[in-house]
Amino acid sequence: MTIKKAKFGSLQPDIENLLDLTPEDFAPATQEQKEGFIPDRESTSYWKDAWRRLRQNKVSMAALAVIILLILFAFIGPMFVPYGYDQFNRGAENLYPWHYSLEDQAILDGVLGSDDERIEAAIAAAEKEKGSALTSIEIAKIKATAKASKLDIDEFKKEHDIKLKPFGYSKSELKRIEDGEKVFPHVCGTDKNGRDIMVRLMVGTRISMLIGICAALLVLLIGATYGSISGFFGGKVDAVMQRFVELIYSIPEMLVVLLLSTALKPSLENFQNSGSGFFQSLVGTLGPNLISLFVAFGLLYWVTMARIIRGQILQLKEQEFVTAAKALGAGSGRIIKRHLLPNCIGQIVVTTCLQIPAAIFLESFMSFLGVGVSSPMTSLGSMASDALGGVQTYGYRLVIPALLLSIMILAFNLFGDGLRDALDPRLKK
Amino acid sequence: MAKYTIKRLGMAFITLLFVACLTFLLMNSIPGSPWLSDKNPPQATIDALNEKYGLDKPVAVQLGKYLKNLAQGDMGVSLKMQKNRPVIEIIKDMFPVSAKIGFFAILWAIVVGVPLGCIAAYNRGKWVDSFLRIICTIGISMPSFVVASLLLTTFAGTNEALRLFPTIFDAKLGVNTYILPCFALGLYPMCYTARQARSSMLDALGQDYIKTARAKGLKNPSIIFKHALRNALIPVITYLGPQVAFTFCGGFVVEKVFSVPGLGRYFIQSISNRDYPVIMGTTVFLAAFIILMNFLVDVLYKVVDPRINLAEGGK
Repeated sequence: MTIKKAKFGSLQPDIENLLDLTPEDFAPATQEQKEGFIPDRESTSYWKDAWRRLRQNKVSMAALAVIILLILFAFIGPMFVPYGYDQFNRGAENLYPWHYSLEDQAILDGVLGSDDERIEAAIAAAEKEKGSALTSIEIAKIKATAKASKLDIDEFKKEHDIKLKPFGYSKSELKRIEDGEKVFPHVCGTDKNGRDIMVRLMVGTRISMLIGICAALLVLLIGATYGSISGFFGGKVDAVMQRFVELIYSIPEMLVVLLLSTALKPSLENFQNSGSGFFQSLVGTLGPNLISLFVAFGLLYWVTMARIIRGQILQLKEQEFVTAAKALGAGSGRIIKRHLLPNCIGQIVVTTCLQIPAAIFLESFMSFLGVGVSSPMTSLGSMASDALGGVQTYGYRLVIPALLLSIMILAFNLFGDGLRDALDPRLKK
Repeated sequence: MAKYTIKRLGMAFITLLFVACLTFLLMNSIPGSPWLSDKNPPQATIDALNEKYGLDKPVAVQLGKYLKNLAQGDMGVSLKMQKNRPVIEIIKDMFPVSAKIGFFAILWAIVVGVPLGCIAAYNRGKWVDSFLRIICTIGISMPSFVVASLLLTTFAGTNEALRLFPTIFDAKLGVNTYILPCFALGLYPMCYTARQARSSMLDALGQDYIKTARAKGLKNPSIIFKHALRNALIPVITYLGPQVAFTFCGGFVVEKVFSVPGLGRYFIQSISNRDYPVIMGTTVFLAAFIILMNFLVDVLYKVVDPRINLAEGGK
């Protein structure tokens, strides 16, 4: 008799009948049996294994979904909105992300009159009472009380069943809708120049993401090269290179990035205007401000990456496969590229991924301080900065980009954490 | 230890020199001049002013002269923003404001962050742990200007019931005026410290000496505070140096939101005004401050863990 296999073709014997063996069972497998061999488990590669672990992590998968949604929002979104990010929509300035229907507006106006009319009436009444012209302080007081009395209209609204409707429309747009035209709503309202905030959010998200990814790749390139050279050659080379890393480490980054991005901008602008080659047009499309930002970022933030890679290489280079490669006559460059760096790919991917939110963070800081992207281009940071002026009246202009920015950074952070757990289970705590 | 200190001081000196030179070169490569403003002065006036303040000389000569003066403790005078006032005096005026906010921010970050991390580690896997982890991950994902401006709109906005704090920073108002900026600035380091403390506490709690302590019959508080915490603090302290730097620089943004008359806001204004001595002065000063902080952190290491041998750089 032959061994009953747990599964046909499996190499694992059925343990229950393990002892009922006959000599035939030890005969070499026939060609037929060999061809019928089915491995118990499919062989998995490093990436497949990591992907399996990552998929089990629900938080990371949710973060990945959010990232994909944000990418769609930022890159595909603007195609569906008929407004440009720098397009001034006349007559649609300062819209809230909600509106009243035309009839409701008419009722409201009828009761209240417009703001200015009411204020003028109040001032005129006060002047009559006093008998002389009012001081500017008194006028300001009247204006303030007139504005405050708006609060009383809540009751009135309830009585007439006047409700806010979602999305912002200007009056003329509402009229066009009544005439049967289709008008795309200002989903998040408009700013003081009548620019559609949602389109600006999309473009801003795109800029933040681009900066994050480009800066992370730049950091990867510089850090991996520097770290691997420093780690591989060791000795004096390492000592000197590490002193330089320490030097960069103790520089106040924020100050230098601020200076660097201001200083690089004009020279990039000159370069942009110097001709019409590929690089010139590249600078033109991205904007000198943006490029100087991530150059500054790349020049200062590679040290963490370099340190991590150096540490890894220091461990790896003592292993036998490196000695074997050396014995076969491989040069240093080949050993680093083909043997050492692929072995720390997990660390590299994780560090790069966690570099993205750091870069987005820095970009938003810079834009908020007014040295980031320049108008009419926009980013989430500069939108928040712009909104700070009218924050009491138009709070949503601050809250929406701020939340979007936080969600984006949160998603990248969570995804990076999950990636670390998946690619390098030893680090999991 | 003496050898180590000397080595560190040497390194600090080189770093400072590097920062000074880099800043000087970058600053001079920005086009524009401190003398240009709304009313454009005639070229003759500009030339005279350049000559008076030594701006007509080549950059290398200017740099040499600046470094020589710096060595003697002279940072020059402001060219534009507070004309002819010594930069050192300006820094003396402005830095305490920034430092106070930064100090309290870091203080609350540590005082709250470390215990939170310990609590999370001790309750690993329970709902307390998950809850704290969610809070902290959200905390490190919110740039401080977002926190600051959200706080500003909520607690210093138009809503009378919630209007507990002043909108514009004013040192005369006392504690009230510091609460929002310090909270906003300290939230990120607090969450980061808590995460760091959690993971290093977990590390420490898994060690053999903790098992020994338990086997001896020690009570939980004693194990955590006497045995685990000291060892768990080392990675937390490692991060503190850069954290202090980041917090002080992050202060720029918070200073802008709350209109704090601090050094960070002044630094940014000085760049757009091309007030060269002020740019140099603030950068060199902040760099020196950060280097000093990093050094103090290294010394703190030794206090927490006497096994660490600083002289051999064994971290």
